[in-house]
Amino acid sequence: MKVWEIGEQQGLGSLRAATRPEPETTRGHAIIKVRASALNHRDLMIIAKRYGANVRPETRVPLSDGAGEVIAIGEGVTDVKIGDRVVANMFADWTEGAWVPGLFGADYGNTIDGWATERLSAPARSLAKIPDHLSWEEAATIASAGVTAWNILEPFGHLKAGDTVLALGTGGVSVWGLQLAKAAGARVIITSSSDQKLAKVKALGADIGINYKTTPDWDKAVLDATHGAGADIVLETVGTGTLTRSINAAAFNGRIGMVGGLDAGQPQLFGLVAKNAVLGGITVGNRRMLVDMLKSVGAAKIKPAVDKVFAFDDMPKAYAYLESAAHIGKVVVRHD
Amino acid sequence: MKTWELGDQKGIASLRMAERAEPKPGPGQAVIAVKACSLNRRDIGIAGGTYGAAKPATRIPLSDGAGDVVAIGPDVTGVKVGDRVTASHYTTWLDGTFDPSVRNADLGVSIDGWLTERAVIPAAALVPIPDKMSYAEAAALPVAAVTAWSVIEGLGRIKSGDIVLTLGTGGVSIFALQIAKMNGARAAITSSSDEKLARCKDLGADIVVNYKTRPDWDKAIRDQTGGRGVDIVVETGGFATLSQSLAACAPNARVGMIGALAGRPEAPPALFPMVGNNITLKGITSGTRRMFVELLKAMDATDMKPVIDKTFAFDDAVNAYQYMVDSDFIGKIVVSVG
Ligand SMILES: NC(=O)c1ccc[n+]([C@@H]2O[C@H](COP(=O)([O-])OP(=O)(O)OC[C@H]3O[C@@H](n4cnc5c(N)ncnc54)[C@H](OP(=O)(O)O)[C@@H]3O)[C@@H](O)[C@H]2O)c1
Ligand SMILES: NC(=O)c1ccc[n+]([C@@H]2O[C@H](COP(=O)([O-])OP(=O)(O)OC[C@H]3O[C@@H](n4cnc5c(N)ncnc54)[C@H](OP(=O)(O)O)[C@@H]3O)[C@@H](O)[C@H]2O)c1
Repeated sequence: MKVWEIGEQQGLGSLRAATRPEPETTRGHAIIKVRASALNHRDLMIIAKRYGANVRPETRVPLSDGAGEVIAIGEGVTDVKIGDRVVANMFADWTEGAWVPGLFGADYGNTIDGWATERLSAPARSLAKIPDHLSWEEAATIASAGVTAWNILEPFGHLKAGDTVLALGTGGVSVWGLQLAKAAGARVIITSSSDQKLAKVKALGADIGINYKTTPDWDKAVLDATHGAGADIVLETVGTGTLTRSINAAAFNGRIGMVGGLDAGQPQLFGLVAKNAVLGGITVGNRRMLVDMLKSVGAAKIKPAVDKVFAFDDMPKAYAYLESAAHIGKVVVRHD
Repeated sequence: MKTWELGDQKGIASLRMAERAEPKPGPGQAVIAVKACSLNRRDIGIAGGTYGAAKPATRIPLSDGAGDVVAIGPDVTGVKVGDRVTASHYTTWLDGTFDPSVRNADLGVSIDGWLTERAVIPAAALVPIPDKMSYAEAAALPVAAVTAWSVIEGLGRIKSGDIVLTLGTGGVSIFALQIAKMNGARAAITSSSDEKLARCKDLGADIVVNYKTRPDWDKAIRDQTGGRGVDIVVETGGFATLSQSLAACAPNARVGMIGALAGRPEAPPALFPMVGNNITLKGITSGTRRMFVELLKAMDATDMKPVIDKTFAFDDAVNAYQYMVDSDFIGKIVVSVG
């Protein structure tokens, strides 16, 4: 079968195609015929040795996100059966409960082989069934970006109808945040460097779009747009460089979920105290959150925002497209 | 009656004694014959004019006090003459989430406080004192103990076996130590003084670190927790200590940001460990009347007694302020009245 490997991790040029024997069926694992995979910002970091401890073998298969069909199961597998349409939680061992640091030991596309393959042997305890209305390409966008957005909005943010949600930029996590928040009756404000992208996210349901290039004090624009109240939940996908403004834009008792490393800076935190706001570090989420999120996606029939689909053999083009940041939402790869 | 007033707020020497007519309760108000008050760090800032906008010179200071109800105005329910009471200092924040409007009725700040023989207090904010608790003990609680409770219970949802870290040995920190212990948690505390740390050990502290002799106190705490780190931080130091507090945290830790004892930070805090360790940081503005009631129930059930370092006479209130400035105390400083 064909796979992609991360090679020497000197940048996009290191991605290399390889062939391997078909995976064997082993205890506790399911073999998945991968139908689609999706890219995340961190895949750009992994391929450039900028993510975590950077001790990955050259043969590591990248990508934490994908969707496919179960074609074989090993002994002891009871939760999924042959023919099931599934996705996997990014941290394969994080089934429920609180975060423990050892979970990075089974992280798809980082410390264990990921989804850039024709067939994947996956620990069955990490799998979850997907709603019928999702195509393979749509389902592939869920595991990292979707669950991260869900974790900020629900387990961390306790979103309720009528809340205002602020999402920064129009990347994968932000657009998932937009769609999940709209499904829960929230008002959504989203920022972008591009008016064209803002028009697209408005078509997806965003109530207010703010161009952070032409409106550098976008925090004030958020306050103006909410009659001074601010955002109840902020998806802080950018990093400490935008955090001061995110706190300014937050409401009293606001919840700011911090996930991003796109821009580092020197944040002013005093607003947290004055507003009784909460800043939470978020590390994607557990399988329980994935299952809860899929329930919401199924009930609200959310159609994930797939920007562009590349062929499996064009994987390097998909990476380059993500890096160009021309997308909104998700960049996806089809496996045939 | 005799009362203290803030005066022109140029420092604690501006505090002045005045003579006033006996107060009469308006609608929704109660008059309290004050028996004891206590000081908080912010009272130094208020007296020095550095805590928000200037207050009227006639403002009566202090957020914390206790006494007997001696008169009630129209429309007062829930308390009667003769009740022993203290009060929630944000007098309109009875329950629920924070609203900035609570600052408009803050005892000793935006409305008159407790450093007076008879205080006029919005009756809805009054909280009955358990029988076995003295006035001085009750007067020690409203700001410092409720703030510690708000971090440890409200934000931290403490469970037995957790480790709570608190910085310094002032009012909030000593309450944090005691509240941690009453919940079956382990308590870690830092101080500039080995003597104070020895007193904390007597109070039940499990881990003590001198932050003067161990500038890398976060490492010392991590070592003493077997490398695991702490679950809840009562962050009284402020943004100057935050990076080290975060470095001392276990995964999923809850950090309540309340103070600024350590001054202005030299560098912005390093937040990155928050993401990889799923840490929560929350701004805390004291707490609600409901939290106060819960705290009193817990103190009553576990026989927890506030640590009162020293008690000053009403006429010596300025010396109580000076004693706080000198920082040679642990826990609370009380003024006895009447
Ligand atoms: N901790 C976690 O669990 C977790 C999980 C997933 C992702 N992440 C992190 O979250 C971030 C987003 O990931 P992603 O996969 O959604 O990325 P992505 O799809 O590559 O999104 C990139 C987008 O971010 C926006 N952006 C960049 N700089 C910005 C700025 N200064 N202000 C506002 N928006 C800005 C841009 O939007 P416009 O083009 O519209 O301006 C850009 O298109 C990354 O740092 C990633 O590592 C963390
Ligand atoms: N947000 C809120 O609702 C709220 C409520 C109450 C208090 N606060 C704030 O919380 C802080 C504590 O208040 P408090 O009334 O408990 O104060 P306090 O009783 O006056 O505390 C004084 C003690 O703080 C310690 N300290 C000073 N610098 C320190 C440092 N760099 N690191 C560690 N400890 C240090 C010292 O302990 P050692 O002598 O042992 O070294 C000192 O004795 C203040 O900043 C106060 O304004 C905020």
